[in-house]
Amino acid sequence: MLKIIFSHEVRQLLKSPATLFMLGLLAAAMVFGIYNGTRAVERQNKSAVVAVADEAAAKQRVLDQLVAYERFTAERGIPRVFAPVNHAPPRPGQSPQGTNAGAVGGELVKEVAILPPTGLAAFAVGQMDLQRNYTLVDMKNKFNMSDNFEIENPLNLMTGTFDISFVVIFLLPVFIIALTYDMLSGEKESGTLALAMTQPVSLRTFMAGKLLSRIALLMLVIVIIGLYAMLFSGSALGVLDDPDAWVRFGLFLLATFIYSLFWFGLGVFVNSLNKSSETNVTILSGAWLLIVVVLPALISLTATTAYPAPSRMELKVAMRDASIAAEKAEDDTTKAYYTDHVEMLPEKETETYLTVFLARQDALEKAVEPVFAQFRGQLERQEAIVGWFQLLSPAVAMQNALNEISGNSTDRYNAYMDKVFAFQKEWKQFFTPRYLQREIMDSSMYDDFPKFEYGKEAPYVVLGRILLSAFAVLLISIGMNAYAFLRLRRFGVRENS
Amino acid sequence: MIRDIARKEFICLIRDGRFKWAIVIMLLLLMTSFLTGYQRYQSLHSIQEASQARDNEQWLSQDKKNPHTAAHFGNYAYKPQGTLAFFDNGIGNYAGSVVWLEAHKTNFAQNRPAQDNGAVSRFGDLTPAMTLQVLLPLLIVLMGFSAFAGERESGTLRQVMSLGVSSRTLLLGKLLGTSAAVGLVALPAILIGVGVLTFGLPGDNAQVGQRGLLLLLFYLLYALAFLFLTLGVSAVARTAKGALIALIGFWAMATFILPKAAADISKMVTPTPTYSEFYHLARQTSLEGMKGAKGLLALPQGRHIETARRQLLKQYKVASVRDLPIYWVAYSMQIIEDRDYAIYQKFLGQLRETFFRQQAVQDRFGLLSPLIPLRSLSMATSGTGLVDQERFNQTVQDFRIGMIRQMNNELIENTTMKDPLYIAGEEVFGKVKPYRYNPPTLSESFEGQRMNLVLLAAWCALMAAFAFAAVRRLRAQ
Repeated sequence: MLKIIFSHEVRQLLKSPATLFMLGLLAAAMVFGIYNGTRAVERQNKSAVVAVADEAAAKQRVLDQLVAYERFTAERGIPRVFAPVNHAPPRPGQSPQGTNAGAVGGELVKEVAILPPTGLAAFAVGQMDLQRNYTLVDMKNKFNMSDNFEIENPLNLMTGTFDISFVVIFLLPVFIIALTYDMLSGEKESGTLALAMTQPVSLRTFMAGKLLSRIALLMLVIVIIGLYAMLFSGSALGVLDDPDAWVRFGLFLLATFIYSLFWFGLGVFVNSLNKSSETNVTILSGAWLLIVVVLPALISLTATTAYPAPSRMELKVAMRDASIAAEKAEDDTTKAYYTDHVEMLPEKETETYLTVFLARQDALEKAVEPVFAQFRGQLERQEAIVGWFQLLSPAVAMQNALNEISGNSTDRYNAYMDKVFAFQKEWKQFFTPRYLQREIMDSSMYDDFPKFEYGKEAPYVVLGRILLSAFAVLLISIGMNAYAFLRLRRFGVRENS
Repeated sequence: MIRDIARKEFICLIRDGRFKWAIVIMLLLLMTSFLTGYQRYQSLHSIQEASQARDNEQWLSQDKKNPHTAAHFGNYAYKPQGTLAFFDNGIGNYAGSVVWLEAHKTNFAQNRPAQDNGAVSRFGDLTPAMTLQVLLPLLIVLMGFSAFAGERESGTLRQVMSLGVSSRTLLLGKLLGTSAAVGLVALPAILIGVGVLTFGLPGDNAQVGQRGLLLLLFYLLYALAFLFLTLGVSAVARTAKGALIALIGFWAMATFILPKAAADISKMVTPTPTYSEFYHLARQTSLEGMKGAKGLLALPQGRHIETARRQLLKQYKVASVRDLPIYWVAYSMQIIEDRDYAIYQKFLGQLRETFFRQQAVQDRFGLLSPLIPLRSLSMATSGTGLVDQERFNQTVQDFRIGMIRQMNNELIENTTMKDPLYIAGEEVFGKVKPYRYNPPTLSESFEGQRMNLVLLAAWCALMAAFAFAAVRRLRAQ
């Protein structure tokens, strides 16, 4: 019987121009979404490529001078010497900055530490439009690296990107509401419900058939267009042969299915209330507004009110206080010179310039560390609050899940920044001892500079982050559907409640 | 007669359980949004004030040092919010509010709250403006969709029409009744807003009264447009259900889908350069010279300085910079500063133009959604839009070049190549007056908003015309 109702419903839905229009609109929105998401990832990649090229060119310039110097000394059989820090270009035969590990690792050469986008990055732009996915690492204090500002029109940031994640979180529920709001009330209002009930079929089987047919149709569109989106963005970004991308795509389909189930359950529940179609629409659109717009705003508000992050402004004030304190401890005579322009320092001062500079960077870092730790701590506590409150709004849970699956989540970004900070230690450990021992660097060492490797997060790490939200939404969805179907037992086919 | 119809409509709405809930929820949300808007404004305002004051202090109390090193230490400039930011925070969460002004480097405004608040903040803030822009129209739709269609279904429309009520009277009555019910929600909001403004918020209060009145007018036009649309659709639709579905569809399209689609389309039309592209181009131009520029700017940096050096030697009739009565090193640094200022002005200007062009593209979608002109007007009136941000971005760069010139001139005039040592203290640093942001006047705020004004008024007028036309052809069945 279920099969008959199912196929009957499918045929009926496919003959309704309104349904076809909606499904078409959903498909169009997804196509538009993947196009925008792919453009966002391409933009991000392009930005990193320019930075890598710039830094490679800078390294090459240092290396070229060094190689020329090595040839010069070898031809004449004279020993190579260590070059003190000097910002002016070397004269012929003069030892270049490339021999000085402090100058090289401290200001001339930078490692571009890249957070590579995942194979599914185009599906949910997340915070990608606000932050660069690369960090320039040198020996300066680490707070300068933590503010990875990317240029974008604040107006566009405010509006957000029309990506697949927007379509799924915001629009998909609207389509589900439109498909479900009059599943029973419509039949009742046109008088066909009583007629159908004269057949040997229970109301619940009848409803199950209607529900399953709608779920099947919608999921069919999502799988087909989702696959198209995957192929489109995958081929544009060259990740189609990456198994990780396909695992993530599978997770995306699963998360979308669970989220849809919630909204379908809500639709069945509202129908089980046995009210008019208009009332159903009113309730459902109110619920949509509450879950997708109001609750997320309230959750965000709660998190930022409960754990207000010290503003970056305060961080900056603290940094300047520390820098004033550090320079007060320094020798007065150097301050008459340009401490930032060594080319103007007398010869004997340049020997100590970098030592003083590095010492100041260290002092600064130590002084600001507590403020910075508090700053990051508050942000983590905010995230934790959002983590719990997302159980209230499946939309927040879904946003969290999609950002994780696409690799554009705050968690992944923070994990990346931790790796960058750790890498900077490695970078410093490579250059600082060589500088302090006045080791004369040669061109063969240039291939041995530490390189940043992000590595991949194992799928279980990603799964671990979304498990709670996915499970919660799944439970809510199943509970909602079960309760609604239980209610149907008391559904009056003729009278109104 | 109009009064009778209005009263009937009002009472029916008030007594309906659905609307009781809607009104209560809406009221609660409005209250919450006003309270949190007020709280956010207060806390941000005090942090900004304190940070700017502390920074001015730090600038003066920094250790005695070479003035050029002081320029490296630099200043932070903070953008104060306008008073009406408590109502409409606009791009506040997404635009930087503090810039580091230092020697040799042109920096962007940073400290965007959205970057630090986690992804959930991207759902949008619950500000009074957002509540009125997004939730109010839905409330209007829910209250008005059955005004005609519902009565037609229950058969009462035939009775009313048989009394010989003119279509105009009927529409105006329904309009008044529904507005009164919606007003139950909107009125407290207006009172709170006026209260907050009268009893004062700290901060800049210039023309705040006029701005408040303008906001009232804009939101009224917006609400009326939705009200007329709702009544018109209700009159045309065959069933109440059909009217509701169509109206909610329009609402979702106008408030959620179109603004987002417009932003993405504007990015396609005029792409935003990335951070690395921007600096790559600016640095390259600084080194190699600006193509198409006149005079020294077109030359590579080295030749620019060389030319200036020769001019200077000629002017003072000396053979070497060592014999100059002024300090050549600081002089040459200032040449680069002035050169870079001109170059960055060009690229920052292009970026600004990109942003405004994107806004213009988005504003054009106001033809399809009344939210878009309202949103732009609301931000412009509240002083939280692009115009205000770009004014800040521009004035801080002007302040920066002034500060650096002041510091370098100290060196140029007081030292020479033979005797370059110089230590400056508070009396020299104090010559740099603290940065102050001057918000735009009302007429400056509305530059470029003409189309939005026309569009919003047109939406209201067209919807009114539609409603009258729809009611004139009203059928009882």
